[in-house]
Amino acid sequence: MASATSTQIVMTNVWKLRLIAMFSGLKRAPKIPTVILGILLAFGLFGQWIAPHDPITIDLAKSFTPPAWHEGGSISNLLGTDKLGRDILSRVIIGSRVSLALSLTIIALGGGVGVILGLVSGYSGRKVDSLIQRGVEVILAMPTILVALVFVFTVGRSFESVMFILSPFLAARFTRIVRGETLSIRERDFVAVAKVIGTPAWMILLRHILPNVFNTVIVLATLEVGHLILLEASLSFLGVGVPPPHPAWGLMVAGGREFISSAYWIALFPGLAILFAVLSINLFGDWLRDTLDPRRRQL
Amino acid sequence: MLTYIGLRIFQAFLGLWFIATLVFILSRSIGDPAEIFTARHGHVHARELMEERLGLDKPLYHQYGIYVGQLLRGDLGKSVRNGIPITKILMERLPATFTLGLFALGFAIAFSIPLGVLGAVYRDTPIDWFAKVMAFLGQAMPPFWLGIMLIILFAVVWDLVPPAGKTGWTSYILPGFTLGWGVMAGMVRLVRSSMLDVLDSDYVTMARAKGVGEIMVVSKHALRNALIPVITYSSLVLGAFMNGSVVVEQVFAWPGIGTVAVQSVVSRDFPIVQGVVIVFGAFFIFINLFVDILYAVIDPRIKYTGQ
Repeated sequence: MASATSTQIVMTNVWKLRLIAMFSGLKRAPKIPTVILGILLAFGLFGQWIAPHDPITIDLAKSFTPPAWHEGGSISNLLGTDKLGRDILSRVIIGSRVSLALSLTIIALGGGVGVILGLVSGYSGRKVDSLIQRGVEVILAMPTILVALVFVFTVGRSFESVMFILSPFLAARFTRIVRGETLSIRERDFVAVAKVIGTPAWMILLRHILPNVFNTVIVLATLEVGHLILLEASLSFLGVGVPPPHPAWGLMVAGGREFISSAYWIALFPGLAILFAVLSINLFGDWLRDTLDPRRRQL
Repeated sequence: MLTYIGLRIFQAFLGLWFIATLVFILSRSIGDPAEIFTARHGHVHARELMEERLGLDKPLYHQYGIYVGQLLRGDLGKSVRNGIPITKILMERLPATFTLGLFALGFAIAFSIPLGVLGAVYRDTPIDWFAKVMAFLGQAMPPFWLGIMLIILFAVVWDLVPPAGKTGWTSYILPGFTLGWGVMAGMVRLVRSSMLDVLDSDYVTMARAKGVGEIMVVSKHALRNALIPVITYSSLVLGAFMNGSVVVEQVFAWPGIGTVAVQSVVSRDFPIVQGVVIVFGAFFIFINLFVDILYAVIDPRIKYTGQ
């Protein structure tokens, strides 16, 4: 009994130290990407107070206003307006919400399932492992965008349906990587010792293996956010994202497509927003990987 | 070795069967095509005819049996709209998608190997920074947006290449570039990091010590070994191309499989979509199988028995 409590104390301290290390380490994070990520988060959380206009209000008198630096542009619509006279800047700001909310939810959901499956797959014997791995293989062999397209088109476009169909793909990627890690950690001495003293399997996974795959999971999750933002934008571009009039970056690019020769700004700016968002997440994720998990330079 | 290859082939077919079954379940659970198609006309008789033609009046296990039987004979069914066999539709569209993918892969390899090698050899110089910028941009740019921007610049403003469609070899440039850049990005990073690893290794030091020229060291001793991960990556790239082709073909009105798939989704012609998913999946599985077997033959360190 006493030994159990002391293990517990040691374990909580490990997690606490890890968190402290993570936050103090943030000071050394690359500056520009971190700042952009901060702005992005602010846009997502407090967008409606930052945006200069309402992103949905239609004002046909102002349609196709060019950005402020062009002739006929105005300061009030800094990045111009679209066909319906809606302010591009406000729509870009509010549009970040869909991208962020969706990718973070999918990371939490798919990633969580993936981590559990990866741990189980790597730790348990051949039968369970090979069953899970075949499943992973099948999911990874499916063309993501096409399957998502079919699914969302049939069940109807909504936040939930995009979330539901993209999560398994993410889970499969997490499962594969966490399983690989688990396979090697499983052979380490401290796991053998834990087994010898009769620790149940779930406790070994939770207490001894999970903390050791934690860094990999954090890094993977960060890098996958970028992937998911691109994927969500592609779906929304194809017309199966979160439904209009709610602004989403991919949908905005699609809306600007027919006016490329007359009003380039409609398609340009939301795309730049995606570019900067994904770029800074990837740079941040790379830094995180170099710091937390240097063995996986090629992830 | 032979047991391993046999097992691997068995697994590939198992995977294929999984995909086929999953597609069947999905297609049967998301709605009755007969209902979708005849709802507009609202005629009971039309609906019954449609059900009979599609075999939807039979019990589910019977439908599944027919479906698997057809697949085994290489029959993917017929389009609901016009009755053209799906294999025929896909065969017509496959060359356009395939040549575009090949063009994109060629572009990615042609740029990524020199960029990656130079980046590693001249580490932290402007060449290296340029390679890194290209890589980071490629991984962060949404392909549909890149495609539109390229059309604006090169087709609308400068009028150098056709904006869309498949007309001559110049029409390959924009979509190939759009599809290839993201892949190139991954390859540049991979070539660079594996070159850095290899250039650090003992046998490269050894080669240098015995007086082998720097060009020979890089091109013969280092690059050859650094290319192994690139080969693996090239196989994974095919997955990226399958995804990319759906979007990029849409942007450039490219007459390939991706365009057909999107059109069929919109017009609810599910047999076609089903066929595309199965063909893409099969393609991916067999490429993986091929790479695994190739590795088993090439690399004697990989052991397969008793794992």
